[in-house]
Amino acid sequence: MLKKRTLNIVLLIALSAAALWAAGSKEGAEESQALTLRVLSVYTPDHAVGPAVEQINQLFAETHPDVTIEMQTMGADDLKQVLRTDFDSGNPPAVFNFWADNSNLDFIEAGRWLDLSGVLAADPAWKDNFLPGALGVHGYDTSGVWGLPQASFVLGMYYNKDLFVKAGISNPPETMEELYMDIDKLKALDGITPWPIGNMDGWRSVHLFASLFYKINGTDAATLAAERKIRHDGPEVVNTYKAMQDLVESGAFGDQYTGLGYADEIALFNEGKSAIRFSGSWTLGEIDGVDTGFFPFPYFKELPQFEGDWFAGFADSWGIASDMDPALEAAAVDYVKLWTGPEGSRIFAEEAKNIPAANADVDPEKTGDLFATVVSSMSSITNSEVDFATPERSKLVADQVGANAQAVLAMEMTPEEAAKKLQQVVDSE
Amino acid sequence: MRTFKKQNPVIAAFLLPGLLMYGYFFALPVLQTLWESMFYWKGLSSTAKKEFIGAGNYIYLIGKDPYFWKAFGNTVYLMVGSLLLQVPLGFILALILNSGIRGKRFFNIAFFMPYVLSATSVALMWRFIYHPEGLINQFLQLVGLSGLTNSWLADPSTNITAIVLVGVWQGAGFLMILFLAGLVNIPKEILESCRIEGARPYQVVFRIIIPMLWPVVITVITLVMINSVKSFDIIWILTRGGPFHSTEVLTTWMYQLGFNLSQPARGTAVASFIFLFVLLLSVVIRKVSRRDSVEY
Repeated sequence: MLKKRTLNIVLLIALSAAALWAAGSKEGAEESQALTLRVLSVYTPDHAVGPAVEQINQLFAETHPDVTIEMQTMGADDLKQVLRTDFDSGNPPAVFNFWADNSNLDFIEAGRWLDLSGVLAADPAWKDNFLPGALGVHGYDTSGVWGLPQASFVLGMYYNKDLFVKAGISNPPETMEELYMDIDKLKALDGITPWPIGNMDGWRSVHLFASLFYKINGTDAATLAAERKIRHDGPEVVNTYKAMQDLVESGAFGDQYTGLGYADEIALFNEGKSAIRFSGSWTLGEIDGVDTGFFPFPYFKELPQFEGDWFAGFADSWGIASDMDPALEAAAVDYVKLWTGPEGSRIFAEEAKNIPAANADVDPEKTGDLFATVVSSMSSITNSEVDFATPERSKLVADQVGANAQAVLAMEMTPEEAAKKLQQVVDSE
Repeated sequence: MRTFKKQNPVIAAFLLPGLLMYGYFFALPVLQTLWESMFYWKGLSSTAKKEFIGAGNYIYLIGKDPYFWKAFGNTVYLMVGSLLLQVPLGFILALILNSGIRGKRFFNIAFFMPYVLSATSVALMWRFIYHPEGLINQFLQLVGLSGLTNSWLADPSTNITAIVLVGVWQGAGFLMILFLAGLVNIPKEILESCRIEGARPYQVVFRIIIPMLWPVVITVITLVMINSVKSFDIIWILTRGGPFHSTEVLTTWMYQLGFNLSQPARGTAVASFIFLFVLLLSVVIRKVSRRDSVEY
């Protein structure tokens, strides 16, 4: 009796296992038909590009009904960490946003990113539609194209026209000397902070540091620093830190800037509580309800040779993971092609008021006058560089550049201390 | 004795699955972490070239790393601050609730509530409270103390203390529950006789209650110390170790090195250091706290 019961149990287990295996195989067979394209993107639903994502995904779904897009969106800082973790753990997204940075070579040298030069060559119309220079952003001195930029940008100054008039400023400043005079006038307005900068978000002070560095030393100096041809505790860096602290001492940023973030900057400007915003052209879609003008980041009167040296370039690039299933890889290429092609670029510009990295037939009614002003200002660029640490290979040095800029702007370090600390990190690498 | 020996294989057979699981899921990863910390590598691929450098990562951390000692100092500050504030606060709350006040159940839930909230919710809430235009500064302005307003999380002189206070706010209720569980086990007769003998309240606390609660006190101290060293989520959401690394602790620096700064091997070395530090703390606490518990 006992033997018979035992036999029954064994048979039951065997049958169940067989049934489960069969179900699993069937599921696996169905899965091979449907593709899931995981996209890791900085374009969160509340990002200015958020509405464009919806439109582009819909267009993609129309031509790729067998592909499901799994959007995973987050802020830039989080995305960089998730991207690294996903690749480290062998679970990379198919398509992802990233930014120009020499440390991307870690991924490329490990063979984890797809070289897009082949697919670009196969579609000359797509390739030739990119703006000059856009395809070179992610070359990193290799023969490959490791990413395609979605946006082009310039960093500059957005100002509240009404507040400028109220303060008696007839023309926006061109030089730092004029800017200081205007800050004094704006400070006289009740309840207005001339130019709040959200130092709690480290990249704000990094952008300010880089913009000032280029106006003092020229953009080429960033490459020289990365190649260790100029020292990080030399006059180039020290003078830039001094210029940052001069701005703090002028009262431009108000009292609470050390505790504010980027979102606070936007809120203060849109509420009419601040007069100037220093930001990239991606901010065009973030400005709301304020009659806004634009002027280039001021240069130093005694250094006119660097007037045309701008913090500008290409951003929000798309990359594709290597070693994927060929069908998934083809879908990923199509997805990136849609975003960076003429139609995707048009939607990107019109919906987000963001300047695309490729040519597009944009309706000026939809993008507005400010968009046109910013785009036309780009013609005065003679030299450009993205971040100061973009040519830098060591992430530890790049991190110290950021930490120093934040500490200097918070007046927690003297320019000399900060430069010395930076050089120590360079030496330790 | 003979029977015990005879049963040994049976006992071993029953222990084996547990031991195997413990070995596979705990001992092996710990040993692997220690082993990995002795290599130089960049992660990203299991086939990435690894170079054995022995104690190189540890030597770098101790001698060259720009923020390791800062992170260690902040970790110790966090631990000591939590011990000095959280443990007494939890104990005082337990004493108050054990004194027979009205609304005991309500206060019990109210004080314990922060502990059941997720760390993310707690950190986000306190980010708003500490914001330059947040509740604390608004309150200070309301009572005419505008001069005391501050950017609490941005100012290096206040931010690490601000983080300690969040931990105290969240954790004190849990410690209160642990102390309460011990307090209700102290016979009422002993406390009553102390009162009749004329003992003052502080004498009752220090001479009777604390000695009788000693095993609970040691457990609480151990928990607070180890949790402080391991804490990550609240700090990460509040400040991400910034600004300019001023609130970096060992766990955030481990994460930064491993996932942000392309230094996974050095991150692993920090992880190993944390493990050894916690191990050392546990041993020290056990040694220091070894005293006879009071029987009653």
